[in-house]
Amino acid sequence: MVSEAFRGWRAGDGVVDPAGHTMAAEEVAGAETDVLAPPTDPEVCVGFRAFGVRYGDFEALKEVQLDIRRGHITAFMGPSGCGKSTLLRSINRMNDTIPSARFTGQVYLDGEPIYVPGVNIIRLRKRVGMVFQKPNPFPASIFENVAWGARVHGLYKGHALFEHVEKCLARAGLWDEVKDKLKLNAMSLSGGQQQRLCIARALAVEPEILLMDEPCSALDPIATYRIEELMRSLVPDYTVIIVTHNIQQAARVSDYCAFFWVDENRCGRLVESGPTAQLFEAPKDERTERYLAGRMG
Amino acid sequence: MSAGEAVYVRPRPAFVLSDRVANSILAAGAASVVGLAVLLGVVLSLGAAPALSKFGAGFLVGKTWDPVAEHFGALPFIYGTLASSFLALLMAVPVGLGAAIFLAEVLPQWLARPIAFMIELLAAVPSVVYGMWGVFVAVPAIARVEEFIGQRWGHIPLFSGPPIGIGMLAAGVILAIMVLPFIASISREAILAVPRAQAEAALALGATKWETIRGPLLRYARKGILGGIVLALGRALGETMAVTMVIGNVPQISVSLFQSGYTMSAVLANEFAEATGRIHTAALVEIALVLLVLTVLVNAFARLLIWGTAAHAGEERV
Amino acid sequence: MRYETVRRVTNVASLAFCGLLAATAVLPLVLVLYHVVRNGASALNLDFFTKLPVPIGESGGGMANALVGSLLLIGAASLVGVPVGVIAGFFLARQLSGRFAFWVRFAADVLSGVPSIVVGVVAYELIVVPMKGFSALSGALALALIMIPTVVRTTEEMVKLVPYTLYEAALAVGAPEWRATVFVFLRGARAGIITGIMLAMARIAGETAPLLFTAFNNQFWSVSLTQPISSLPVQIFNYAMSPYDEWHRLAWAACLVLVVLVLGMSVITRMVTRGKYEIIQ
Repeated sequence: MVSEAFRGWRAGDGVVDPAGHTMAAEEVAGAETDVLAPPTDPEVCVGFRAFGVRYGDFEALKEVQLDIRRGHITAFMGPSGCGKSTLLRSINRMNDTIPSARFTGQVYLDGEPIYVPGVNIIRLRKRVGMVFQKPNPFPASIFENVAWGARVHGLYKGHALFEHVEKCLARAGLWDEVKDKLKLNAMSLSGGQQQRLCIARALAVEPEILLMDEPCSALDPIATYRIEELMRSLVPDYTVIIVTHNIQQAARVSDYCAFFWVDENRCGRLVESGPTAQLFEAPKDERTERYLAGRMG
Repeated sequence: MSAGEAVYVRPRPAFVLSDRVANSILAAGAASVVGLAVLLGVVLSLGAAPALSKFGAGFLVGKTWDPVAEHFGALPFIYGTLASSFLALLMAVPVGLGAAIFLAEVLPQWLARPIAFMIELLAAVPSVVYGMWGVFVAVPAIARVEEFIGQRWGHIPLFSGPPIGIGMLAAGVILAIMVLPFIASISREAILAVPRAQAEAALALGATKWETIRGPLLRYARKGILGGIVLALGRALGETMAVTMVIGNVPQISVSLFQSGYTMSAVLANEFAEATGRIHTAALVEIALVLLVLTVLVNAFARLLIWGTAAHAGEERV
Repeated sequence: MRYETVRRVTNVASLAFCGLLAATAVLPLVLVLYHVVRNGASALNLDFFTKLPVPIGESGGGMANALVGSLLLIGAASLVGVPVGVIAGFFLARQLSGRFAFWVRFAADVLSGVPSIVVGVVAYELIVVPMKGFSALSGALALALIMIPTVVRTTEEMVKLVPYTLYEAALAVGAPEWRATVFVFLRGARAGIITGIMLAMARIAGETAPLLFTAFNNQFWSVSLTQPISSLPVQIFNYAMSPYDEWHRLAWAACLVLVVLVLGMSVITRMVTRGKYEIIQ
């Protein structure tokens, strides 16, 4: 993973567009505070500081200043193309796999910067699990899907591994449905079951944070309901961050919300964030208000 | 009267003579391809009939090949064909698979593509050129290797025999080079066809690149890779010229890699033009028939595997 | 911590090893080209292209007859193989499903996997036996049989690339189907089909096995279809297996000609079609 570490670092923190940098400082933290200062509140799990991403010449996201609270569900919402998925994938540095991706600013995980040279990507991704938009189980047995990650990290062996797999499947609310067919290919499960299997797979490497990139967009309403129920059961043991374009979903499951918008250059910007109830009832920004009103009917 | 009684009819195409003619020409061309394939089997079966009726199943297990006494057993050739082909796969599979992994997952594609093309070019070099290169370049080099091994481990049956370069090992090496592009190229495509989401899922769990490849990627691509290997086997089984030139052409069954052997295709190349008598020719045609059946089965299996992966390779990949 | 180090080292080591294997895979091409060019270039001269072979013991001589023989065989094979292949390919491109199309596709696949020496045996039984002698004609037909599946496959692929809406546009003008087909598909796919044909021709140029007992060989000048005829690959085989250095030199020269022809064609095709055409199908 040496090359990946380098690739992620290439843009460095601090090569910020000077103009953008100042603006962020004024808007978010006041002129005197350092926008790149790490979060001091121990309840903050992930902190974005003047964070921006570009793919080649295309600026996907910039000047994100956001704290995410431990043990809660935070939802990123906004129209498509507003950079919410990009931001999510920055937390476990999955954007590193795109060769043209460059970063600016900093992301802090428990107070430690993750966009610095030599950061341990393997351990970072072990701490930050991820569930994808479309269920993507491995073409292997149900058991193997969950066991693989734990085995790769050398966490459990033999009978302990089996018990661990059972625990993770139970946590994902899937154990009762699959306990008699653990050897069956995961592809034979239904879409909703596959997605819960993917959650179990992510839990199996014992992460602290779970990133979910529109986890229900490929599922029917009933399966969606089960996933949402499952998400609620994961807090406060885990910190959950979910990307969704479904406002009702954000309202149903999240404790905190961050609303993103696309500016005139098709670049994603954070508009506002706060406790979900507050954001929905009294949005500070006009764009948030209109978006929520338009979408909620 | 009522609306529910409408009758639907298929529109009948207008009769256009030129279209009828054109369509029959197309159909005739297509039919002739089927006809040729059938012809192949029929001609070989008829030609082999005298040998089939005289030797029966004994032909396949007989060990002596004596045109003078008109005693024909094809086992040494069948053994030689299978042994040289498997030896070739033994060498070509690791190299081809490793190269495919490197070209698909490690190198950036602008660099990987020309290299993959160079490996594919190996498949375009005529067989007889490999034979020429084998006889004058590879065989002397192999002879030196055999001498080196023979001095140390000559007592092991696998390495016994004269270190002259010509023999099973040389045939295996040349065949390995010739089938390598099939394995490398098809495996690379199979790996490239794995949905991006598979690699992302593994990486997001904190797996290293190698763990990702070894786990989900190879598992997902395994059918395509196996298809490439089986296709390569089909090529190796039927390969003629290069093998004929380096295998030594002695109809014997020996476990030693250094001993000469003989293959089905090689005996056809060497004896068919000068076959003496009806039975000798029929025996050789029967060898061609066995070779045909073998390669058709192997190729059909390969196509089945490759089609299987192509069917669900349509998912997104960035 | 230690286990993680092991994983990182394994990762780097394994990927590097794959790189080594990739280098190994390219090596044979480099070696073969190097030896063919080195040994062939020194033996290649004008005589090679203009003179006939000379008897053993005499030096000099060329492969003019084999060169012409190869061209004649390829030409005659194409005369049969190209029309059949193109027509069948056209049929498949228009007839994507159906039982008959399945069998045609299956037959083309079977034919493409048949070892070329087996095709030679069939041509022998079909033509050499009734004609009571080796002939250029039998060799050409064997080669035709070998090139048909390649031509079928490329024609089908190339015709499929032509947008169907163009065909509909031609029909909407009121053209008969066959006129529309010829006008739209043949024109649209022409370049691709021709490259496919050229590649198939390059490939049969190197075929040796099916000629051994069909076209056989001929030390003399011959352009007759009913007589045995010499060809480059068979000549290479005979010379290579002979004990004479002079003949070995000529064989290397012929190898060079053949390799330049075949590889050159593949590279040009690749460039023209920008990688759309694959050597391995």
